Amino acid sequence: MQENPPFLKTWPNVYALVIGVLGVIMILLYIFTRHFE
Amino acid sequence: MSTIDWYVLGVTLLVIVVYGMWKSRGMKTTDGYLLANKQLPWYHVGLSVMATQASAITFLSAPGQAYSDGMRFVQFYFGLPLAMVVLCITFIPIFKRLNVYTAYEYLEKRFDNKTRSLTAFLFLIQRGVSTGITIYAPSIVLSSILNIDISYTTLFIGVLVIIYTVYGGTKAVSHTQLLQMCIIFGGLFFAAFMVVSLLPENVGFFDALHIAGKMERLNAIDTSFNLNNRYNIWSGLIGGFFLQLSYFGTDQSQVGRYLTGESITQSRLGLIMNGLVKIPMQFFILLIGTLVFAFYQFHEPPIFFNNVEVSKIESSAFKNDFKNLESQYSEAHSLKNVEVDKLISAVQTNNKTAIDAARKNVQQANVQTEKIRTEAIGLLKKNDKDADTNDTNYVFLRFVTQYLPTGLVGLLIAIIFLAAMGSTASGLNSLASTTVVDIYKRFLNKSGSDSNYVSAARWTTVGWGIFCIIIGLYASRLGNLIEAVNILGSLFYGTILGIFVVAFYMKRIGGTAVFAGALIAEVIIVYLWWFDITSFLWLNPIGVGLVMLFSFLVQIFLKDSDAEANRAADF
Repeated sequence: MQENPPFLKTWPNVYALVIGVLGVIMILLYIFTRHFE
Repeated sequence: MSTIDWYVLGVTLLVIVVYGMWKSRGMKTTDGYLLANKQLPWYHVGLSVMATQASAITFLSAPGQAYSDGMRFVQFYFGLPLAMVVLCITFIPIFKRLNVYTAYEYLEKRFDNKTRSLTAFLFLIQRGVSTGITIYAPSIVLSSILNIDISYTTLFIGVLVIIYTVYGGTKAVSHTQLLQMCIIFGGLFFAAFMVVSLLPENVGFFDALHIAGKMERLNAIDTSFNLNNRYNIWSGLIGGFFLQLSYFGTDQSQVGRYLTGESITQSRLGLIMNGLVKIPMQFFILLIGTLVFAFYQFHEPPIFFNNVEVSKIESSAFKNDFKNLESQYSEAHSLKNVEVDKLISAVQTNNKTAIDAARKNVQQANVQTEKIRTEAIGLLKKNDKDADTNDTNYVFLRFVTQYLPTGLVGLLIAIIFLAAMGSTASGLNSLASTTVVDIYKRFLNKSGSDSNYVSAARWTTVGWGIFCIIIGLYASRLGNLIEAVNILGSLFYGTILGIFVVAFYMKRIGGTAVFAGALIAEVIIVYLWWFDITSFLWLNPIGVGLVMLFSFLVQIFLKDSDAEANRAADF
C-alpha cells in the first residue's frame, strides 16, 4: 500500500471506505428521490 | 445525418483504431499479447473494466429506460461495490500469486484438468454467442437511424474490432478502451448540457428535475421488499452482488482486464475505481434520459420512436387509422402542455397546494397520451404480428438525431459504435486467451515456442471474430435473441461461479467431487429452464447452491479418499 495516501494505510480501511461511499450514495439517492417526488 | 456528422464519426473511429494499433505495436510474447506485459496502472485497469461492461446497449437503452420507467434501474448496481471488495480480498491475490493467464487455469491447480476444461468450455459457448449479440444489438438501432442495411453495420463493427484486437492483443484492447471511455464521458456531458439548453427559456435544470420527479421518473430508490419487483434496493444489493461477483470473478472477458495490472495493488485499485464510479456513471446516463423526458413535456414526441415500424404502417391498410391516432396524440399533448406549464409555475412559486393540484392534472393528461400511444402500438402489432413494439432503445438516438447540433450527432453515434467495439474487443480477446491457454497449449501443443502461442492467439482471435460476426448476421434474421442470450448466460453463470466458490471456500472438496457436482447441477439447471419451473434470473443463485451441495455430497460419498482434495491446502 505504499502508493496510497497515508489515510488509506491498510486494505481493510479501503474496503470500509468503499462500503461507506456506497452507503452515502444510497442515502443521497434516497434524499434525491424524496425531494423531487 | 449531415456530411460533417459522417466526417466526425469516421475520424473518431479511425483515431481509435490507429491509436490502439500504435500503442500496442511490437507485441511478440504471450505475456505481452495476452496480459499487456502486466504493466498497466490502476486507472487503465479501472477504465478497461468499465468499458468491457458498458456495451452499446447501455448507452442506447438506459436513457430510454429512464424516459419510460424512471431511474429505478440504478439500484441494479448497488451490489457492485460489495462484489469488488470480495474480488479484491479473494480472487485477485490468488490469480496474481499463481501467475495465471485465465481464471480457468487456476481451477487445474486447485482441482484437476477436467474441471478446468469443463469450466473453460462452458465459458466459450456462453461468451462466443453473447459477443456475437454484442455486435448485433446496436446494429439494429444504428442501421435504423443511419438507414444502412443491418448486415453492413454488423460487419463494420466486427471487422474494425478484429483488426486492432488481432494486431495488438490485450494491450490494444486496453488502450483503445481508455480512449473510448474518455470520448464517451466527454460526449455524454456535452449531450446533457445540450438537453438542458434546449429546454424552454423559463425552465431551468432543477425545474426539469421537478417535472420529471412529479411524473415518477426520479424514482432512484425503492425500499419496499417485493420479489416481483425487479429493481429495488434489496434485489440490487443481494441479486446484483451475486450477478456482479460471477461476472467479474469468473468471466475471462473481465478477469483478463484486471490481470493486466502491474501489481496486486494496481489491479485492486482498478476494481475499487470501478466500484466507486459505476453507480454515479449509471445515475448520470439515466439522468440524461429523465432530462430528455422533461424536454418532451414541452416538445411533442413522436407517437412511436422506431421509424422503421412507423414507415411500415404508413404504407399499409392501417395508415389512416394511424394518422388519426397521431392527430389525437398531438391534441392530447397540447392539453398536457398547458398543465405542465401550470405545474412549472406552481413549482417556481413553491405553492404546495397548487403543486399537488397541477401534478394530479399532469398525471391525468399523461394517462390520456399513454392510452393513445398504446392504441397506436396495438395497431402496429395488428398490421405486423412480428413488429418490434418496444421502442425504448430508439428514444435517445431519435432525440439526438432530431435536436442536437451538427457534429455532436456524429460524435454520439460514434459513442455507440465505440461502446460496442470496447465490449466486443474484450470478448474476442478473452475467447482467444481461453482457447489458446486452456485448450491449445494444454492439449494440442504443450511445448510450443512463445511466438507459436502468440501466432495461435492471433488466428483464434480471427476465428472467434468471424464466428461472432456470423452469430450477429444470423441473429438479425431471428426474433428476440437478446433475451435468449441472457437465458444462455444464466444457464452457465451459476454453475461456473459455484465451481469457483467451492474452490475458494470449501477446502475439503476435491476435483472429482466438484466436477460431478457441476455436471449434476448443470443438468438440473437445464431441466428447471426447459420445463419453465423458475424465472431464468433465479437460475444463477440456484446454480451456485446446487454445485456447492452436490460437490459436498459427492465428496462425502468418496469418503475423503479423493487425494486431490489435499491440494486445496496449497491454493
